Amino acid sequence: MLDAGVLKEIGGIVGTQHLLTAPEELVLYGYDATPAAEVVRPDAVVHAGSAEEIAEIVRLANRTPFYVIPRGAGTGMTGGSRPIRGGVVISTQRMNRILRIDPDNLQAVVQPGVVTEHLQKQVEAQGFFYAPDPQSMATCTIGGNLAENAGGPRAVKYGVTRQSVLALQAVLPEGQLVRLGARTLKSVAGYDMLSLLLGSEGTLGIVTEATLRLLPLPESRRTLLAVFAEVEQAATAVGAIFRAGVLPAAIEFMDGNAVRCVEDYGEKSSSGLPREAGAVLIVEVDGGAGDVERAAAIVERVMLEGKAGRVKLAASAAEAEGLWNARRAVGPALAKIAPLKVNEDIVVPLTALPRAVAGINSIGAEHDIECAIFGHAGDGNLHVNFLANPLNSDEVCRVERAVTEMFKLVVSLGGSITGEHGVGTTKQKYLSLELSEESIDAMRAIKAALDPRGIMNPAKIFPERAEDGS
Amino acid sequence: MAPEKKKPRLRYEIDRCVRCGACMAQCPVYGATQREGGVARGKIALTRAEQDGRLEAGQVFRFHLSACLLCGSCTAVCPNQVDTPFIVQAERARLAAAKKTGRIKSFVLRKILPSRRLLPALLSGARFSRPLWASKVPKDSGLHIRFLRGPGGERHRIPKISRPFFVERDGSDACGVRRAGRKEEDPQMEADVALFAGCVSNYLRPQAAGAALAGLARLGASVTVPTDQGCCGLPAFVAGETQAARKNALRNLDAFLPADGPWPRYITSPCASCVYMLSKHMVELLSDDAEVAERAREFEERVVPFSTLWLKLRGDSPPKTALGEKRGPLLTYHDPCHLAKGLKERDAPRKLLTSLPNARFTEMEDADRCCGQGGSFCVSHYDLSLAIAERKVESVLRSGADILVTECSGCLLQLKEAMGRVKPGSEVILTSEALLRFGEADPETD
Repeated sequence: MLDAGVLKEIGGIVGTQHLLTAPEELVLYGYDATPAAEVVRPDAVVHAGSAEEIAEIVRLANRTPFYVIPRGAGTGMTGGSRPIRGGVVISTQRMNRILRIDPDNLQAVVQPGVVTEHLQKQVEAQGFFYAPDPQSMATCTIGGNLAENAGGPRAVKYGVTRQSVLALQAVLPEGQLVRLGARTLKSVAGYDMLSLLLGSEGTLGIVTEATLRLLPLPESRRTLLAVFAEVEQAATAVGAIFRAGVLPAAIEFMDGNAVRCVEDYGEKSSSGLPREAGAVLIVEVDGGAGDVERAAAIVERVMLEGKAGRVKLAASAAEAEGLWNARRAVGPALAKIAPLKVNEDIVVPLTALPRAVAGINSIGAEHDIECAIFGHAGDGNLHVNFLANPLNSDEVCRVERAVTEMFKLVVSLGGSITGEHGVGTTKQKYLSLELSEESIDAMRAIKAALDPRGIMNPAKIFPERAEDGS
Repeated sequence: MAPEKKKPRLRYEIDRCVRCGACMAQCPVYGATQREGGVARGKIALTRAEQDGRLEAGQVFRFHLSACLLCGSCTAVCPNQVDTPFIVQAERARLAAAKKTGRIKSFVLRKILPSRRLLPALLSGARFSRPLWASKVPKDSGLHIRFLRGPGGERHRIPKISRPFFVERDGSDACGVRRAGRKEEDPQMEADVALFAGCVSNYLRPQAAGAALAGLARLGASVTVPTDQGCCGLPAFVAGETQAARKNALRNLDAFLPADGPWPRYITSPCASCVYMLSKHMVELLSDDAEVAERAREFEERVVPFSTLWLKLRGDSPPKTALGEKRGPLLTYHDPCHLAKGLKERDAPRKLLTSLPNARFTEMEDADRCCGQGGSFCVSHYDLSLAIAERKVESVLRSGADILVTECSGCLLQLKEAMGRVKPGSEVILTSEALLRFGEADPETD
């Protein structure tokens, strides 16, 4: 609990109208999009208006001390913004201005509360393009994207958020307001602090301004659907696209279960995906008009050579949108059939895709758990969904065992336990499957050096140790 | 779905929210405040906590519950189609039942709106002494609540009351039913429409109901206006005043579908929010008595939005006027939430407007974005409501349209006020009025 004096000081910094302490407000900022997570109330919520305000609060947090928990729009999937030890939630939603769009330098300068899709629309209106496209981009904010190093379908060609960030202004855990990176396309002055902060899940700093990289908006795009009888055929075909010299903007994968789910339960689907498919790939190529036609033809040929039973090139933008809608409908459709949907965002090297898919399916079968796999096959990132009834405790246990085995498989294939969602609170217990004790210790040492009092977003990423405790 | 059905509906809807936050993209209140309490996900989290006994229904709780337009924008983008308007209404009703809503508002909703005498009396008095009216009528009033009060009440323009009211206009015949249209004597007539005016059309804007009547009559329909009709009950219903809404419902049921007949084939209204209420909640409110419930079901089935009915009666035939460049003012259309999201009707109003020979039509950006009216929301959350309307006004201005058309009288009043602040004198009309002004000339009177 924070005492009244501290609250008054915080109110003095941000203005009392931006400091929320009513029990209702504490419930409202006690959750994010993490499935089945309990509401945990913070002690207070502030809607910060500037970098200076955030720095002042963080300095106060060090003096007092109290925990601070950075928060964007609260759409994270692993609990990164949950105030699990109480403290003050610092929301950056109010800092939502696009400060500058600078096409000549291929960059945009934004505040952290800008909604990702809003930025995209603004730059696209000027013929430019901000590449990162997390699934929640209609609602999530740039600040959250930076903290989680978010990615999306376009990552296969354009990379994740990291590849689109040139410079940051951030408040470090002791309240220092610093600039990191450079507003140039290159810079090797000092440590690559950008990479350290991006994906640190709000444990190493709060971004207060970002200089993001823009690209010229591709002139044209084509989308095609390839249907395979066997899951492994589709997984194998992904590599064949690259070998043929094409780098698509997206290669999305849905297994047969995911396809049938969308067809049976999807709201807006009626995409006509074949129910009997073992798997489908949705491939999108972008670029200059001529290049795109050529690339689409190559992909079509490669798919057929890869034993695709059917390849359909979308004839219009509307048809392409229909394919994408089918892909987007997977998550919601799965949620409809199974009240508990354990969605893990594993990632494996491309060549391991066929083995990963086959292995996961046999793990599911072994534990008698229904599973659906879909995701961004182009970068080896798969969303594996184990479906269960939360009231069936035996089933829930079997899901847990299946998840652990899957992570072990993924790591043995040279993959990672999380490609997009981060570790947060929900994947802590699996972290040591992928990272050695030494490398986790090195990370803890960095955290301790930058945040000696441990006030910033505590109890995230690293598994709790006996000496941690609150 | 099957195992979940056993839960009460409120719990069932609450439990389907997975807090993904998709609602944040469309919620008008969240758009204006960027606060979690504004958006569906937040309101559901609060309701869940309250129901589980982990949270008191305190002042802030009631504030967030009241700060909802019930526009259904959240449901439209929700992966699980969670019915947040239902949740909010049901929770409001629970609190109201526990006597936790404001006493004045409650009085207006329970006593004044269902009454056929009090509301007209209040309104007609106001015509002569608006300042007096404003000072005398309770701060939290029901439908005309819109004009009187709230934190911004004094800044509201109070619309002029129009006497005589539409429903009493032109007198009524012996059986309490007035008829219009050419085929009234023909027992074989194809269409038989009973017109529900709605409070705004009845008391403030009789020309809108008159236009609806004329527009349908032109298509050869026989149109009746049952004189015993009242308020549709939506303001009371959404405030959780279920008893008051039930009274409204019963009165309208008896007015339109008297137990001893005759019954009209269609029931429509120039206002889509009334249509929404009359076609979605009659059975729910009147389910106690079997005979009444059966009539309520018959009633709901007959209710059709105005433009939908127009299209139905007219058919898809092309306009009779000559081809070539159309002239006349440029119209644009605002989708009322109750029509576009609640009743899923987006095409008919557009077909109506594009068919008009004497006006042109242009689509605005985000035409289905809520205008921020939301019944009493626009009064109890005056500044927020206008902030939401500002985005709509920007879209309208960018469209370059001369006249803004909509099909809900709530939207109409809101948009008139919001547009008037930026562009004084700008016109906002209902589809029925557009039909009369810019439609094909009446073949028989020409």
